[in-house]
Amino acid sequence: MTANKEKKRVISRDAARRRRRVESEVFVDLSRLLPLQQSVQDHLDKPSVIRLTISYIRMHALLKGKTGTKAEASHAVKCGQVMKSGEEWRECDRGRDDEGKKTDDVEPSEETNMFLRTLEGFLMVLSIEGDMIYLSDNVGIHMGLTQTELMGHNIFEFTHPCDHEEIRNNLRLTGEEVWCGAKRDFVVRIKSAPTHRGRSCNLKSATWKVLHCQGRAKVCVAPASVSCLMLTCQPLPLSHTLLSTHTFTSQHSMDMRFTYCDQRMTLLLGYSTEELLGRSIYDLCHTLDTNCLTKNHLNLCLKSQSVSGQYRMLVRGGGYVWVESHSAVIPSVRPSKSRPGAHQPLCILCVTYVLSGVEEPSMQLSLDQTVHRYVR
Amino acid sequence: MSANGSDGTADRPADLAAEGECPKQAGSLPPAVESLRKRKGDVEERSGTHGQQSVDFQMDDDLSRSEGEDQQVKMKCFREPHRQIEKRRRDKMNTLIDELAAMIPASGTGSAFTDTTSKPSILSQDDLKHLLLRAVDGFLLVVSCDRAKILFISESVSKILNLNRVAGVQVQVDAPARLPLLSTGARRSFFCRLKHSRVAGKQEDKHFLPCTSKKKDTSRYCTLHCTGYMRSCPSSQLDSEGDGEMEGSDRSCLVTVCRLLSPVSHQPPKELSIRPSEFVTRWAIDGKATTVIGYLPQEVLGTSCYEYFHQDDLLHLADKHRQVLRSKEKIETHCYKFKTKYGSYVSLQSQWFSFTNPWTKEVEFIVSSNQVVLGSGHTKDEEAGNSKALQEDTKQIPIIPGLSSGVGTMIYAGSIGTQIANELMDSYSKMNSSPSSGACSPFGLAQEKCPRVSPLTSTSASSREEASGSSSQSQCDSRTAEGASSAASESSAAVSRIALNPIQGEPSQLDLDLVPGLSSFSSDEAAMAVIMSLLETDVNMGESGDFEGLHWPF
Repeated sequence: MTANKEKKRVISRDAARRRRRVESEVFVDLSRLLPLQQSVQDHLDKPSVIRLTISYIRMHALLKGKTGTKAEASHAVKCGQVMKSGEEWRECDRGRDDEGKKTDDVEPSEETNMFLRTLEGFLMVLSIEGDMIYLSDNVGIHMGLTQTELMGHNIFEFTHPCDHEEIRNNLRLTGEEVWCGAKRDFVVRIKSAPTHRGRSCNLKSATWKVLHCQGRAKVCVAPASVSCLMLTCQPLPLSHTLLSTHTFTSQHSMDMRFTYCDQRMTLLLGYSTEELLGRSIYDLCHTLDTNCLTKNHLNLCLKSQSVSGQYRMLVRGGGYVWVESHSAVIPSVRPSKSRPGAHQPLCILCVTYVLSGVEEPSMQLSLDQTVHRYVR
Repeated sequence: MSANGSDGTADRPADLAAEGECPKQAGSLPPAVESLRKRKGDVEERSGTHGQQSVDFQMDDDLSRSEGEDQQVKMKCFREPHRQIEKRRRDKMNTLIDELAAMIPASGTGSAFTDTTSKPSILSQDDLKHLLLRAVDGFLLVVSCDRAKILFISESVSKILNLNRVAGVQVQVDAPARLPLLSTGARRSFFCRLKHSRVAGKQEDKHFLPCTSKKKDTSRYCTLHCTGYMRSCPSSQLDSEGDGEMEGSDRSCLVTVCRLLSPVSHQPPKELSIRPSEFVTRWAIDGKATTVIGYLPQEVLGTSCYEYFHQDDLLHLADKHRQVLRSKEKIETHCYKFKTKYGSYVSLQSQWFSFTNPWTKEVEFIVSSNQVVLGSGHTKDEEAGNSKALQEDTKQIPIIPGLSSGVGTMIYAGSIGTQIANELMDSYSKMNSSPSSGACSPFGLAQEKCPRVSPLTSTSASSREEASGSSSQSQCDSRTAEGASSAASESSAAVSRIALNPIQGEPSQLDLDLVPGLSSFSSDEAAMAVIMSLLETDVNMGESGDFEGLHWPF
């Protein structure tokens, strides 16, 4: 009886071994089908193979997919923006390509690579559920994790929990906006694991990086595909090289009151530094842009970096200019080693680009503009 | 994580297993995968294995103890023997593999499968390029530094600027005025405006920022954000026009990605917007007001809006004023009369809400959106009433509860506003030990469940939506504002959580956990990085910046 049992167990074990071997071989075959370098293929584990295959299929379905019925398409045309199917995109651009070939000879791949490199960011296609269907292969430079490690995973696993609500809001598509542009522009915190030497390490030593995502949404009605966002993601830099003419820096306390601004502010907007110290930036800007500024301020408080979008700053003496600010929260004093546990005061550093000339110079919208008429 | 994906489709294999059948292998595979299997010579073995599987299963059945071996896998019993778990896993995997295999085009059709000419990648370069174009409203631009000559511009420019790429692009760069020789590799970021041509029916001009009013209609500018870097290019690549400048020295060029700035919904609301501040009721008011009330903005700046309210309305408006300072909601006033420059009154209805600073949570000012109430049939009565009102101004002094009337028989209207505002300030100082210092705010964030700012941003956005008529942009705005504001409310609850579980194992010496993102830098690095970058200037920039005047507290 026992010998019988033993024999059965051996048979069972051998069968199991064989099954596992066959299964592994199948997975190896599948990984060979993936368009990746062999060295990469060899190191994929089974769930990764499936994850990448699913992503591959979804991406191609997305690119080939039609974007709606005729009724929807005609509605789109009315709104002034036509969403073309994948086929039509290519034909349309191919026509232009032929013209262009005469004047330059830059390969599409070169151009794309240059584009991504110059942008200092990577491309991400995000499904409505938050799956990162596609990431361009330079994602490794910015995130520390490679394309094959990340593709197919869900973005919610990698982003800060407090930003999840914002991501969800951005993933939502309404019917109306889909056909009229559906632009997206938001800032999230994402885990990244680059080391000083540029090599990636594992997620345990990951830190948060602030990512600025811009792009648009696309609806797809093909069966194998889902609606998604197509975004370029740029880690927000902490440094800005300043060009001389239309940029100034300013420093603020955490409630956005000025603690310093440089002389270019005086040249561009007419306020002297002394006038601004202690004043809130909300006093200085057009009322209708309060919303934009609040969002920027919140982003700073929560995520430590932000890009403001365009808003209006009132100019001394009348009128306003359009500006955009890139800001970050930094410690305001050098920490003293002798008091390690001390609470660190923070401040906000803004680099503001002036985008326009002075508009409506005769209009004085705020009390600050009226006192001591500014003479250029 | 990725197992979730496969679990998601687990129902089918589970059902299959429940029927007691092994998933069929043979007929459903495309030839490619089929041939793979055959090549292995495993087909027999595989079916044999399956046969073995079922045999094993039955044998295991015999061997197992009572437990009611339920073939329905949906009953996931903890005491289920390991074999069954294993079998279920196998079946699941097999089915998934079959599904995937069916989806992958058989090799040989060659559609975007592997690009034999270049290194393999998930997307073909063509596809990637198209994807990039969809995501980015931009183009690649290469400009030589010395003569600001365009060396290359990508074809997407035709979509952005409506210009034919071959025909050439007229570039008018506003800032910087010149492109000086700069060191290679230096990163550049600037904004500039480019001319674009209007194409009938395609681009709406409101997509682009307004330029100064002197521009003719035929040529408008669009604003681009250009980021890129400098690189040197050998002169042989530059256009050789026989200028005689071909000295063989390397020239610099600027490679940038130019993105169209997203359109701003600055459509002015149909009504006017006044911004009184809470301390001294003074105004910052937008241009539309003049047409309604007759005063230029500068004429009313610094005055109290109570001076313009009709006497009969003072009571109710004071009450609303109090309400709005204490509430996070938008407060609507009833119709009230507002004195115009010419002495007559116009009927207005307003929505007020108090704007609080996201950091300090204190009220900074009140935003008032005012709408003229038309057709209220006041005209005749108004005229009669006006003259009366003017006469009775000095006689009837409305008693406003809570405010001291000790000013004398004449309450200066302006003091009403100030007194109400001061009430609020008093209540602040009672609540907070350190009212307006920034230091308490991080803790304030953690303690409050709902920062006051959240409904404000959403309501202001939605009112603006109503005001300016529906446009997709304003909807976008409100959504993003909502996103930010609800993020705020979520984060306030979660901030304390973050403080307890910093992303890094090591405790940071600074309390930067409350401002996530900074714990990744040591404070030294962060500060120095910023300072050094701000001090970066290039030799030939001319205005190298008067950094002696920099008032850094270092």
